[in-house]
Amino acid sequence: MISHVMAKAHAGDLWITIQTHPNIVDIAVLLDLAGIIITEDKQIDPATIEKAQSEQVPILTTAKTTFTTAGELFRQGLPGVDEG
Amino acid sequence: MEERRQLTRVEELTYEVKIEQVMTTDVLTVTPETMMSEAKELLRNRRISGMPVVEKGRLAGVISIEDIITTLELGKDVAVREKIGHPVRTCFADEPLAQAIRRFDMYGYGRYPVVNRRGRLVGIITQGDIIHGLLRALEADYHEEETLKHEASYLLENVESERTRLFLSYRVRARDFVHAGDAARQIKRALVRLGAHPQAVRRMAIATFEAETNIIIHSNGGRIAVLIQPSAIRVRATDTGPGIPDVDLAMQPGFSTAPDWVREMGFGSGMGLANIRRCASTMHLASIPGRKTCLEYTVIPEKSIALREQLTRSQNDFTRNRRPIIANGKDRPAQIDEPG
Repeated sequence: MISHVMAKAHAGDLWITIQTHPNIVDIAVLLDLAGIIITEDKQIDPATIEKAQSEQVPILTTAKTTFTTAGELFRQGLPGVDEG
Repeated sequence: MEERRQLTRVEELTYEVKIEQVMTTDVLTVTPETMMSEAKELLRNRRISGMPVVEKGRLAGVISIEDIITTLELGKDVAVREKIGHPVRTCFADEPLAQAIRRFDMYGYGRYPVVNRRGRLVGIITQGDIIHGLLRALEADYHEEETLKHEASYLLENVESERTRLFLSYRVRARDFVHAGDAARQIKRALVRLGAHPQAVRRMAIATFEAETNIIIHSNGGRIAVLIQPSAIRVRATDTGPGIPDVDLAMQPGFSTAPDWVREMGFGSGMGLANIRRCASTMHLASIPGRKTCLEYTVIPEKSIALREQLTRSQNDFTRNRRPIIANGKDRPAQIDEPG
């Protein structure tokens, strides 16, 4: 949920989510996130893409599930927010 | 000029950073009896270009992908032992990076086994490791510099006046999720431009986003007003109803009255007010059921902590004049973690 992201994310973090509405870009800007990964090849709202372009927030997509994406990145040595 | 200074810093770092800080410690090794074809598979699976050969705990040599290719091209598979004739050049773990760089320059191998002073293999170092290590060290430098710069920064410090106040106001419409976060984002940007401390900016950004989405989700619409002073940033988020029947209950983390469709968008987790309380230096929530809700909070930049008490008093004065007041303002300085 968005408030949990607000509470937990640090500047420079990467956010993996299934959410696609334009507000995710606001979150990324407010928290200075490095970018957003949208999973399961979910159709992204054009308004989201437009906002991401104007706010310079990178959005990446993948066909994989959120769980697998997180696992993949973790295996590559990227720690989660609760890893310090 | 700038570039020359940078270069000098990198050179300096090659003496400050030790090989053991950047080397790969998870080293894949083979024995002299390993067959070349097997070694090839190991390298291929790990996507590396060479590995040390260890015999009875002692470093016997290094085998590289080039060695393997030239051997296998001849069409015969031999033991690794056959191909490690040359003396092994190593680095010591406690040597500075500059030492390893010199070796790469002199002998041109792609990798060097790293041993401790007792001769035990403890890692392996490639030019990639060196570059990564230096980049990390530079980044740490940069962060330090940024922190120092921010410590010196101060909200509205370039404005000279006896009493400096900047007032910002934003209209927030009910159920307007398309524009959710606009006010928070604009306020954040303003604070950055005014030179606020990054901690204060972050706390304001989070608290204001939550206040803004609360108005969008729950109210008939409202307004967010921000009063920026060098000593404190004060926010008043008001709406025109329908009000909160039980403010204490609403303040409880996880309590939510958001409808399902709002939750499906990722909002309405019941953590909003808790987030605001965590980020704000002071916070007061008051509501007149059926009429309106008023949320006030302040973020006090680090340098102005001493002013907080005074502010809490004046805020209590503000809320005392209105009824009914169920104030739940806890005076808690929030420290939001920044990446290490």
